[in-house]
Amino acid sequence: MTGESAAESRTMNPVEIKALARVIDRLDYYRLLKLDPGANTSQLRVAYHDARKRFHPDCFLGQPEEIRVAVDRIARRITEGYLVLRDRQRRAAYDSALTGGHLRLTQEVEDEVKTEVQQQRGTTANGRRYLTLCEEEERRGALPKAIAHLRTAITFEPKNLAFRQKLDRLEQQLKAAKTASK
Amino acid sequence: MSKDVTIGIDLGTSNSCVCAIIDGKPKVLANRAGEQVIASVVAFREDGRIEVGNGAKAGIILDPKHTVSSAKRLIGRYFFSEEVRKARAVCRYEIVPGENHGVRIKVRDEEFSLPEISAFVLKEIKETAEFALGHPVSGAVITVPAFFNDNQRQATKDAGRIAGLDVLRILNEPTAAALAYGFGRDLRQKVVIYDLGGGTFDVSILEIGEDVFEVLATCGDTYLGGDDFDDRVIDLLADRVQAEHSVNVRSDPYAFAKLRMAAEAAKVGLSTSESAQISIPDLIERDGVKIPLEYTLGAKEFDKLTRDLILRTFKVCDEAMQQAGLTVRDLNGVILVGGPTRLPSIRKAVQDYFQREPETDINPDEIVAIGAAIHAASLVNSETGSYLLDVTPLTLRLGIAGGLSEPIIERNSPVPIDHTRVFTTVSDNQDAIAVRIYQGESRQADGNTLLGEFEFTGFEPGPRGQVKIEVAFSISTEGIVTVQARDPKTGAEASTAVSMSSGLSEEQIQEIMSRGRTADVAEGGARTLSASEPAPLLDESEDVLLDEPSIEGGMGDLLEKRDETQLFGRVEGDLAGDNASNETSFQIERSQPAFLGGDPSAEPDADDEDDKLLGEE
Repeated sequence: MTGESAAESRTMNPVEIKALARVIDRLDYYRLLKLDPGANTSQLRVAYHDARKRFHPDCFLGQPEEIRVAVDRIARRITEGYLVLRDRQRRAAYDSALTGGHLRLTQEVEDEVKTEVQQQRGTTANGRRYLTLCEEEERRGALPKAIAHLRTAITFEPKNLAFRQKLDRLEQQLKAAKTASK
Repeated sequence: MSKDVTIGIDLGTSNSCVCAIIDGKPKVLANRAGEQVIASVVAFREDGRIEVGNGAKAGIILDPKHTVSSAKRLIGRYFFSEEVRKARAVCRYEIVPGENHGVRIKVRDEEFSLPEISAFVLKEIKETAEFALGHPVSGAVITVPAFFNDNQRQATKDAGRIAGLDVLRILNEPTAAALAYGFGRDLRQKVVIYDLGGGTFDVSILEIGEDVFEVLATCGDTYLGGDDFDDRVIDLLADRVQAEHSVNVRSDPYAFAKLRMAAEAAKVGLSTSESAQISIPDLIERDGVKIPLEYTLGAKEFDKLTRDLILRTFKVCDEAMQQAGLTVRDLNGVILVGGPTRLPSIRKAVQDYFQREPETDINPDEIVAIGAAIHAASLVNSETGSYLLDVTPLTLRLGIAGGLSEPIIERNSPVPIDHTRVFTTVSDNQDAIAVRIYQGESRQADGNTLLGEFEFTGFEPGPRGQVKIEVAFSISTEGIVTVQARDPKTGAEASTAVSMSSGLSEEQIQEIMSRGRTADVAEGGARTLSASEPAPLLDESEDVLLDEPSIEGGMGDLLEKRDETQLFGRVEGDLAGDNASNETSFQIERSQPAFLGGDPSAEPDADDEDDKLLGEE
């Protein structure tokens, strides 16, 4: 083994690698993968491959154990970020978790986001059914009908904040439409 | 760097192969007899000699009780597993239970673990390489079926160590094959590797993009291989002898072994011709009269006998394609690996399935070893940059209450990877939790393979449901699993490279290695597993292993902890001692300072220095 590996010399020295491993929990997936938050799937793949190449454990076999441990830690986090970002739903969940200050999509955060989404879609069968009816009417532009359905949905889920916010929005839209027609 | 050449070893069920890169070119190495394919067979002679390889192969017929073959089918398995049950019915050598449900081979009053048996084969391979290269060899890459679980991988690695090899890396066979296929060719292709070995079937779908070899999905069946094709022919012939002569060949080990050899030879013959002649003049004796067997096996008849086996491989292919999210039209190449893929019936079926002719200029017996050697060379050599991105073949699971299991890391996730879960206690003042780790696709814990278990104590007890335990699961690039439990409150930790319950402990490996040096010049009987071994825990562990796995306390002390456990863990370091300003140079722009340090899940041991590191430029 002669000195540095190709991947290492291309990017970081051992001190930098160790430091990156130490702060890895405070980098979001986009920063970790050096990726623009608006990046598409193929850009993600390129970034993922690039990151994996820079921190591939195979390239550090001859290095001291602490370096190998650090590289392994970074590599595992790169994989994690890629797995989340390549899945459209999980990426959406992550983006919203990120706004809430979570840098990693852990199981707990994912569950939390899922609950939120569920809340928005309704937690009871009837709530969901009337929300769907409301949305259909809304698409047709029949605002009064949409509002009526949503009110019904709220009778089933009086505490659903997402429903109430939507109702406010629809009522304002209706009001604005009426003013405009006058 | 020294002249030390690192070798690539394809350690197969029936045959093995070794390769090295010489002057930039892969060269399959031959032994003294000029043979490039080495039978994975170990024969224990009456005089205490141990013969390995092609010379030992005749022992399968002549001395089946003392000749161990197809050890790869048993390595890393539990004694109660289906495969071991099957092997015990077929094999003439004695398969006995070892400690913690492990498997031992008993030959001439000595017991050997499976890693020890495989180590004999690896030692032969090592000597072959040393003979061919003319200098000592220590570093090696050893391949395993992609579908091997953690137990099987660990055991294979142990075998390498016992053989005196420095196992740089365990590599998946199909990945090695893809590397051999695509290395240096600047390909951009999606390929499928159809790998039918002696005892296992794997299919992997890879995307090759210049220097990146990325596995998109891998699926397999560790209970399906070329041996099963032989079995069909054996059944046909045995039934025939039974019908014609009313003699049961299966009850005569010697005759049965002859039948097996003839069946295998006939199968191999059908790779190149339309029919194979089976002729055993003295198959078996009845009332002092020799009963001969003459049979002409036609290709069509053979195809009919084995059609369902081939169809089984396509079920696995369906699964792999689905997991990769591809259709056959997306593929640019079909690569066949393993001796049985020489069979025209398989080639034809594969071509029909993938709607593409398989690559023809590839030697299915050598390609894996060649790929292993290429990777071995690149591991010790900085210039050759091929990056292998592999996946974990099986879902990693945690045993939970009610005999169930919960998926933690899904199969076909890229490796290395980790995942942390928070668990809680189920009773008040509980002071220990048992962590059981499985691999497999079943919700029922029993439907999966138990990788290991450990007990976590030392956390602060409290009311049930109030105590939080973090369990971190990690899979390395080699597919090896590590699990760590941690109390976020006290920082107490317990971690283990998931110690396979049927495997060898570090102490045992050390012990085997220390006496193993004399194994080649063995004076028979001297190497019986010593009495210093811990007493088998079979009965107690049976209960714990098979009954209701749950995160509950009070598990017995069943653990066989490994020493090499700290793969994982907090990366600690003395930041003050390093040059902090250097360290920040990699830092990506500070676009979201609000998040820094604001993450409640951030490592508790990350100190202020690190914050500073992130904050400053």
